[in-house]
Amino acid sequence: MATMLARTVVRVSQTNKGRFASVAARAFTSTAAVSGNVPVDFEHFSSGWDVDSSAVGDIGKYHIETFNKISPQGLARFPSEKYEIKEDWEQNNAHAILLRSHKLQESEVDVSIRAIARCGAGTNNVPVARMTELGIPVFNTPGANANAVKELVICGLFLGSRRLIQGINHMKSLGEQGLAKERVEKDKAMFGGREIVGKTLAIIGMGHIGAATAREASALGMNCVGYDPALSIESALKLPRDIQIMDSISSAVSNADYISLNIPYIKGEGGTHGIIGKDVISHMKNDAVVLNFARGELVDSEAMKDFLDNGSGRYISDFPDELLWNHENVVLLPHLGASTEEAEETAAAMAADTIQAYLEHGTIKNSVNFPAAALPDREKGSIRLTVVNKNIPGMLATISEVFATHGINIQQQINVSRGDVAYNVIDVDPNIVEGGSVDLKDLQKELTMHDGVLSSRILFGRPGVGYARNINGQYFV
Amino acid sequence: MIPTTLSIATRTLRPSILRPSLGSLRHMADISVEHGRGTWKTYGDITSYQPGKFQIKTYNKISPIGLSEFPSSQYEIKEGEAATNAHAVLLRSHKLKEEEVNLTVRAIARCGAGTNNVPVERMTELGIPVFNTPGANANAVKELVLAGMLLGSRRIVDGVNHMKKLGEEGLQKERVEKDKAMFGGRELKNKTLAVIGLGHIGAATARDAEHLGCKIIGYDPSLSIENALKLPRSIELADSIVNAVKNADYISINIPYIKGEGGTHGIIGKDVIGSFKEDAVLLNFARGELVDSEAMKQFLDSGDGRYISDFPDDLLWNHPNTVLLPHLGASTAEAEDAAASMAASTIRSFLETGTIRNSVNFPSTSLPNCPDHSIRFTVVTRNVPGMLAHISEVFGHAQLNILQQINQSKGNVAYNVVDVDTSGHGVVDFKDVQEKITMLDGVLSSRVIYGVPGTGYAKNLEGDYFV
Repeated sequence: MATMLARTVVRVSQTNKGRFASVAARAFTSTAAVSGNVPVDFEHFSSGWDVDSSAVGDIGKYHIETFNKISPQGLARFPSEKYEIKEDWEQNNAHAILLRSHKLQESEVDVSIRAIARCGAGTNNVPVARMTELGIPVFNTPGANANAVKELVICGLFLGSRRLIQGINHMKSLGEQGLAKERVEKDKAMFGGREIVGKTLAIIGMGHIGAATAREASALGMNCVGYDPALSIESALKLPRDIQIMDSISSAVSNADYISLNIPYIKGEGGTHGIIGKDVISHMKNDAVVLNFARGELVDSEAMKDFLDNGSGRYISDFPDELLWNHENVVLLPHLGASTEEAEETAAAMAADTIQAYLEHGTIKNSVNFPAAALPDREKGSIRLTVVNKNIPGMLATISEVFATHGINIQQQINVSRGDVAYNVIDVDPNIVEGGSVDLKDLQKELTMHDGVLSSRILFGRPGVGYARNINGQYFV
Repeated sequence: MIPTTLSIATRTLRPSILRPSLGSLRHMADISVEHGRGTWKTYGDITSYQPGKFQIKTYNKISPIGLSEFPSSQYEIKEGEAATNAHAVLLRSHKLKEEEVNLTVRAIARCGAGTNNVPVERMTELGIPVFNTPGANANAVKELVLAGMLLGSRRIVDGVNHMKKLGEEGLQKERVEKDKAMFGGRELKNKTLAVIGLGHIGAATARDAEHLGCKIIGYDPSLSIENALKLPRSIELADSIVNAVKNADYISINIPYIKGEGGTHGIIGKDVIGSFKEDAVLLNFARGELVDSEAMKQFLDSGDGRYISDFPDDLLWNHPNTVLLPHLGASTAEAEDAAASMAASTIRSFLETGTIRNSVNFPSTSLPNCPDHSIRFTVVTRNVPGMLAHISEVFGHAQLNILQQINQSKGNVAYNVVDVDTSGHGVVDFKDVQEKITMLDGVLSSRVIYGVPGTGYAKNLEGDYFV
């Protein structure tokens, strides 16, 4: 049974009131999501919600802000009765951001933003480290592009086997001279080559894309060898049964006719910059075809150039290369690995699902900066809170104490951490021993203002409410 | 082993071909094969002749792996005009002229599928079988068709050329992410591929496209059981080209080009194209003339379709939605090896046992191995009534028993393989028998497949006997 309570928003004037928009000057009401008969009182007040309340959209929906053109089929995953999607929101009205390759500035991330999701694999266009400091999870869509990239790698196998691009351009030039029919049979000898069937493909990195590539290549008649120091059981189960696993990149490439790179680019010490360098390349067969649809920086261009100059090898990639772009044994495509309608739709849908799971249940999956967290569904009648805090000792104790002090029973909770940030999901029983009302407003403020806490949320019935932040000692809600 | 004695005709002619060759003789009665008479009009330089080996004349560069199928103890291979005594011709795309076909040539084999570069009809008139290598190129063409499907899904060629241009301007890194949107597209997975023609290449394409996640629809009015067994089990068979293409996202043509009435010229024309989805991708790695270019142009102009082919096209070569490759379908080292090997093996079977397979003008013929104490004759005749009777009569009159024989015909030509019993006979004069048979009206040529390679071939050229 829902208890509808009207609450007024209390304005607290602060010195920085210009920073925030008013969510509403009228009352919040709690929705029917809370069952049980206990009146739940959470009063939200803010430090300077300024914007005219009439500018606020539907109370009761999550507000999704998009950058770039996001696939409509992906956006359709957000049920319209709970979500509103726009490109431009009034300041501090958007609850989550969905973007593709837009370079996100910190100033574009309003205080009201709970989460950021990138439709794609890499997150270089998002200031992730800063978002972690602010306690905002950033999500990506691992595997959403896998089929699209795989098909381009397969195309790369063929582009590296016969001189197709050069042949096509030659036909164009013959066409201009009206000599196509006359010369085609004679000239074709310049562009022939070999088949992939029966050849060996080495796959460096066997995640979603590497595994899909291995399966496909095996189905097309290739022998596959693979290298992946962090091969998981889950990924291994996706590999073709007859793949041979090698113990180093060099040994994987040494008998390979084709080599596909499918590892992430990690900067810095111990990272993967230039991992395909002089040493590895020196183990390659001199007519090997190297396929790089992962990241340009994985390959040392100088070493690759030496290799291409001294044999009949090929380099096929969808990343630009200042040294190799004009080499006759190189084919450089635009970065089309994920440029298919299907991948865009899959990525958008995956990002939408991830955001929904986070906003509605506090579940974290596919985050690049936050730890994975999934607390089982909350019991009927319980209220779920989530707390983001700095990963320092004592936080869990502190948080639990706040609930204990208020006499609130924790029904289930999970605490996980990753790097500098920790995340808690707590389901509490709103029925307290004395039968009084649960003053979540105070509780949330107390919780959030503890040293080390970055933000908190009450996942409570109505979309869009319940988010409080502790920014440098100031309370924002 | 009984050596043969040869009597060499004392004529103005140069000596004939037979030499005793002990190693390859089977146990048999004394056999005398005397060859003589008639004028060798195109006989080569005798000093270049090497007794005991078949001579293979090659045009174009034939794969060494293929040529190694000919054991060097029995075969020698010479290029072009250096082969003055050629018994068989092996070629790729060289345009063969009648005068290049020596009188001594028994067979012509093309390393490849089409035989437009060989004057096949004239060879049939002369009783010379022409062979090809069906299926040898299948994998090479299939891989190119798959590449074509991918090239037709994202604007890869345009993108690569754009990157080159940006490279020239030094703008690659700056513009790649922004500009890539111009070249994106779609995936193959879960799309429908229609395969028109389900022979070696069509079937291979269907199988692999299914692995890539495509749904397959096929059409082939003369689908054989053998070919059906190579198809993916999930294939759906349509009853017409139009029905096959109407729901297809990709369409691959894999049928032969047959000129003339009832042939396949422009078979992919207005009607068929009118049934395409407007964003369909048409792949033509079979023959340029199968597609009506005008109709294709209209299709490409009014929708988002694509045409990918490895044949030139005067009308479409410059269209933004067309990708034309050079004729690379069979241009792989493996296909060249496979075709040459298949051609070599076909020639060997024909020369050594009289077996015919993979011939474009002669009927397939295969008689089980020659029994002991027998000699094999092959006879090429025009396909007219009575030939079989007349041939049998000659053997009968010579008291030679036929142990087994086969007779097949195709078009204007008929072919006989006859194994004749030599046991219980004394000196058998095959020379005479061969001449009699060969000079029958309607016989084009005959061969005695007998020990020494390169011997025993006789032709009836307008009433003149050549041997």
